[in-house]
Amino acid sequence: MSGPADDEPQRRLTARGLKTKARIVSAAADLMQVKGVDATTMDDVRAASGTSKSQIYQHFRDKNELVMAVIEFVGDIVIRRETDSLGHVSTLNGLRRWRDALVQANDLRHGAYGCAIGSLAGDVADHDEAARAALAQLFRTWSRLISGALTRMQERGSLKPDVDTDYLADGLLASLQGGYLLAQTAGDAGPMGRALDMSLNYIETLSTS
Amino acid sequence: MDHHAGSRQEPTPHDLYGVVLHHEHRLLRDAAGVEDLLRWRDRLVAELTRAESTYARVMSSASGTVMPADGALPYAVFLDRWARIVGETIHRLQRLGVVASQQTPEDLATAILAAVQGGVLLARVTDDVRALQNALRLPFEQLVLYRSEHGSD
Repeated sequence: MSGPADDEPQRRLTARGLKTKARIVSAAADLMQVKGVDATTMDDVRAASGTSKSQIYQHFRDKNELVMAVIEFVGDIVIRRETDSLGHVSTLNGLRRWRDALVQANDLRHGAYGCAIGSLAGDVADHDEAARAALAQLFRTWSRLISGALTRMQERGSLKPDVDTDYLADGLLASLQGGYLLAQTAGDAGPMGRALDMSLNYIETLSTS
Repeated sequence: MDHHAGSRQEPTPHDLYGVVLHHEHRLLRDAAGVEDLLRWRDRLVAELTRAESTYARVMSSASGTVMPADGALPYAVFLDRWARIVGETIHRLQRLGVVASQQTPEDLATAILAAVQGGVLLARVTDDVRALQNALRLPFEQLVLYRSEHGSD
């Protein structure tokens, strides 16, 4: 996401500068998830982060650069959460617990805002190639985490050995993302839960027991 | 499918939803077996991945973070009607005994529409239509799998 030339200013930042930059990115991430990327202006970010215009432009040349920082920030949070949730899953019950945690978290917000990565993807995928590529990488990582859980189920002998875990993981991730979008539209996490249940029920039919 | 391409006035979202629902109703009303559903699925993938199609325009307008205040309700109604068309078709085929009946038509329709939405999003981001194809395989395999296990059709 960033080359050596981009890292140059980062090395010169003081601890206070890093803190300010983090505050800007965090405020931008919140705004972009609630208002959308297009509707979020640099001025909105300045106001929400309690920083000045010059501070924002000291850290980010333009909005595109800020969007890339938001993708990195949000992606890090989501992938760390998913690594914690899925990293040791090796049973169908473990996958169901993973599903429950995501649906319950979404239910607390009545389905609003959707997935942090998915929402950004919907906003920028068609007109920002660098952002699209970064988001694609995050989805690949997420899919690999799901696939890893399915592979461990195979290794334990609970999932048929001829099942293509990569394809299944892609399907489950799509079901999750679609579920988020259905929940967002309905203002209710119910459709998300049902969509994931259907996918997990299908995976159950591929079990060896 | 591109009825509005040459028209002078830009179609409203309501117009676009109407076009998609009309086509869905027409495509599914005569479905009589799994093969018809699979043909419908393949056609859906083709429409959703053709940038200028009405289907793609509808999905693209709805995949962002925030739906415009005046757009959220019509889109929810559109999805509800689409799910009903799909669910009624599955219900009819279940009664004919040609698709699995272990899952409710409503749940299967929800799973299919989630796969459509999630698959379109992943296909756009990864720039790879296989994401949508794989997404849709999952709910359709359920219909076929159960059916073959129970010896119908």
